Amino acid sequence: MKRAVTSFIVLPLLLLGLGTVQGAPILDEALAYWGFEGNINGTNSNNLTAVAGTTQALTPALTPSFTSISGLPSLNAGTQAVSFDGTNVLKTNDPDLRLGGAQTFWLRINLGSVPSAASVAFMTRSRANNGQRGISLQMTNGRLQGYLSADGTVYDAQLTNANSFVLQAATWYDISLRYDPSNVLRIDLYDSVTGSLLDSMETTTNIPASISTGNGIGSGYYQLGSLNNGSSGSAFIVPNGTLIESAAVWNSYLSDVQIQSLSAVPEPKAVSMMVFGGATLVMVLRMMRSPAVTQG
Amino acid sequence: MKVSPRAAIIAVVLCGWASMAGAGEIYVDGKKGSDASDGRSPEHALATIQEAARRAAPGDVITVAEGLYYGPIDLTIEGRADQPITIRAASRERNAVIITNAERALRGGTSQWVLVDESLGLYSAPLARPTCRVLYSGVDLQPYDSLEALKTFIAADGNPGPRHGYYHDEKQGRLYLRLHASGKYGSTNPAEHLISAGPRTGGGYAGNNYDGPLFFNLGLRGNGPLHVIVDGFTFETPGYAGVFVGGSDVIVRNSWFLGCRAGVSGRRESADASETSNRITVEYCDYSQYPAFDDMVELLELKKAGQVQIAEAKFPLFWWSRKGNGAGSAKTYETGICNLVGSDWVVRHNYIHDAFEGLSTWAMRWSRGLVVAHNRLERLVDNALESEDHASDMRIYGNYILNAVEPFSWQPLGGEPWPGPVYIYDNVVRSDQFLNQLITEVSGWTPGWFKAGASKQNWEATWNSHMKDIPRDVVRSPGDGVVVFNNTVFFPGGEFLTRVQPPERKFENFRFLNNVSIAAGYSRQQDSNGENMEFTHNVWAYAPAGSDRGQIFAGAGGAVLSTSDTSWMAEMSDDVEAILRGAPWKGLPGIGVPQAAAILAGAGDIRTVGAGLDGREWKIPEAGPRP
Repeated sequence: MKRAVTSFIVLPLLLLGLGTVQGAPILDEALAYWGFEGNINGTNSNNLTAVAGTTQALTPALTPSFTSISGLPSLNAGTQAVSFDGTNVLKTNDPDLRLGGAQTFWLRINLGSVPSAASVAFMTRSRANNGQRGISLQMTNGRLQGYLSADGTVYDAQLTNANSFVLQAATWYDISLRYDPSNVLRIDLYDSVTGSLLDSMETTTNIPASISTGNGIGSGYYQLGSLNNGSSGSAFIVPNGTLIESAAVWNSYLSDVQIQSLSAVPEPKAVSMMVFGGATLVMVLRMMRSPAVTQG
Repeated sequence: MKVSPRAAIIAVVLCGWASMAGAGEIYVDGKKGSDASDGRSPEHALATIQEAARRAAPGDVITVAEGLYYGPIDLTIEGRADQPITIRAASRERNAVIITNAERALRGGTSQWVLVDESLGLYSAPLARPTCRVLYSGVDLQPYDSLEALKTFIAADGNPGPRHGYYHDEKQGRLYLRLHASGKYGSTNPAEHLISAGPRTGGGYAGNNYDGPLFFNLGLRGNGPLHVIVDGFTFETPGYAGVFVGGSDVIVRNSWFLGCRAGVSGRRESADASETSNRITVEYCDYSQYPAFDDMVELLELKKAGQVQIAEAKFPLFWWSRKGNGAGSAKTYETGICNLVGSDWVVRHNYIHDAFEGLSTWAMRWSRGLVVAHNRLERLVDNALESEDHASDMRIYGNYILNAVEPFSWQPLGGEPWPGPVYIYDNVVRSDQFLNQLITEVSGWTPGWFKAGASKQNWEATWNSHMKDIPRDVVRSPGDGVVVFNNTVFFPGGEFLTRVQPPERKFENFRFLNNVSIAAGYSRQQDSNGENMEFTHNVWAYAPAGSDRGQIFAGAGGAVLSTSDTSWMAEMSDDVEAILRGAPWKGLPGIGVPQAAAILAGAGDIRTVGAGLDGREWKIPEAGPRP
């Protein structure tokens, strides 16, 4: 089904000279991609479960809520986003996502507010020991941060910068965190509306050769949102009113060009040439990489 | 589609042939090229430098057509020692081939400027990301740390700042500008200028540590030998450096650095040479923070005219807004043409001008074997060349330094190892009497052409815990020490020494031989009488006429000219080379400098004084990009 749809759509697009559509193929290659179009299912059966931020494990499940969105010109943008109310988190314990080697996290987010003191966890994977997260994409005082821990005891690599871009509320951002073992931990921040690079930061200091894939603590959860699994509170919770339009994980270090392509916006000239309207194009591209089509 | 075996073989052969043609030219044209082209002729140019670099083999030359290229351009390429890869601009003219990290909408002129306050000439436009450097038509704007500061032109330390500047409101995502009201830099309306607003700067106290690709316009990655030559580009408003060199063995030449906190940066600083970028040559480049010097002079003149008020005097140099007093240390202009210098760098034939400093501590701190030769360093707000905190085996020669407030600095703040050896020879320094006297009159502080000393911070600062048991009564420069010989310094109205340590702390292993110093006096510090430095066979002349301790500098075998020769002093601003030819110290005897024998053949046999060793005619060096 997907192949038929893809061939049917892609050929005319290529004939029309639309060579800049690069975001969708990269998403097709993701280990897990969540479009949040009214559900929290992901590609490759990596479905998420909505639970409270203070909940251990995956029960009791909450009913996720979704918000209709508009105004996102990105080629891979949808029409809905999953909503966060300041208490919930999305989790999965799929062993596929307990990655120990090269990996890339990516998400498109719109913050309900930017806490001035508390830290917020966007994407994390829990640890082998009761110490630190294996990998974590966070924000403190509006500035993005990345952390890596080889065995869960300490954070071997910490990516922070007191001069970095300060995220604002009610603004769409595309955020990626990339880990290349023994080499680099990097964060890139794009403006989802313009597709322009807002910040890029990396560290090459103390990058571990791998991250333990053990699941002694937190059962190795992959999470979108708060990183607390236990009863110790709801620190790092995603603020009320936050929307995540889509998210993805790759088991590879995506290239700079690939990361950039995820935030690409259509070129006006190309769109004007198209037989399809812009909204139709977005819809079609989304169909091409949607879980429903993949599983069909 | 079916492909016949024969066609496939032909295709494979053609592909192989194409790749074998690697040793040659690759063309890039951002306007007309395509990355699907073969790149082997200007007519079939590639579109991006990245794609050209991806295809480049040792010995290849990548030629980039005129135009604008947005960075950061992040390359991983390696040539060989006998076959370097060259990345060159099709034209070396300023702004012919630009690599910029400027925000696109502002630079492209599509941002909407709003006149916020007509009486102030205050404009605003959207700018989401933080910025460190903003240029209007190439003119560098002083950063202010609040909108109120920009409105009043008051720097963070309470002192007056330059009469044009910017403030970025991070929360509102807006950039505010006030352009110079005089019109001397063009219109006061930003919409009539090309606005280049770079990204945020790097990490660390001074923002000079590499922390991601926004740091550079052009990045050469990899920690090993790279063997790459970069030639002829205009680098504009990166986070920190025009060129970032992760590895070693790179030459950057004939390039322009505009709105760059540094021109060329290594990957990190370290006492361990295996951790740093080594064997980098920066030559025939132009580095500027224009109009940093003019802004200083304007502030001095405004103060002289009573048109600005300075903060309660804690420090007389109220015009140092660009040091970081304007908007914080992470935006300091105390940088220079290089950053994070490792081992065996060569900085030669560059035109370094209208900046805060030529080479600062952030470049030099752990440099080893740095050669700074035949550069022109002009109109600098603070020092032309610093050797702190731990530079070793530094060689400064053949440079022409014009109107640097305090040309040489040996002022460590990191404790031992102290800087040294440092060899300073065959340079000509010249400052206008007008400048030294203006500074003195306005601030009560008189510049010295050699600043030296180790303040108590070297023992007491938190980062110097290794110094707690080290005696404070003496600072000894290691190895051959500080060896200053055969320089000619015209510094009328100024002094020789600015001492930045208490008089009871003595210098050890500091020597001044065969130099000529034309200045108002030995030091503004009246308790200064030599500080255990060694002076021999120097020549002193007072300018203006005076009697303040010139004999100390002249030393044994030296001479104090009885009168300042008004004829050559008067002509000084016209032709310094002619002045040197006819100077009254010609023929006075010099002395051998065996302490410099390791770095200069025949140093032990020197018999002349002043620049132009052993009678050779001294010439102002050729500097800056060549056509």
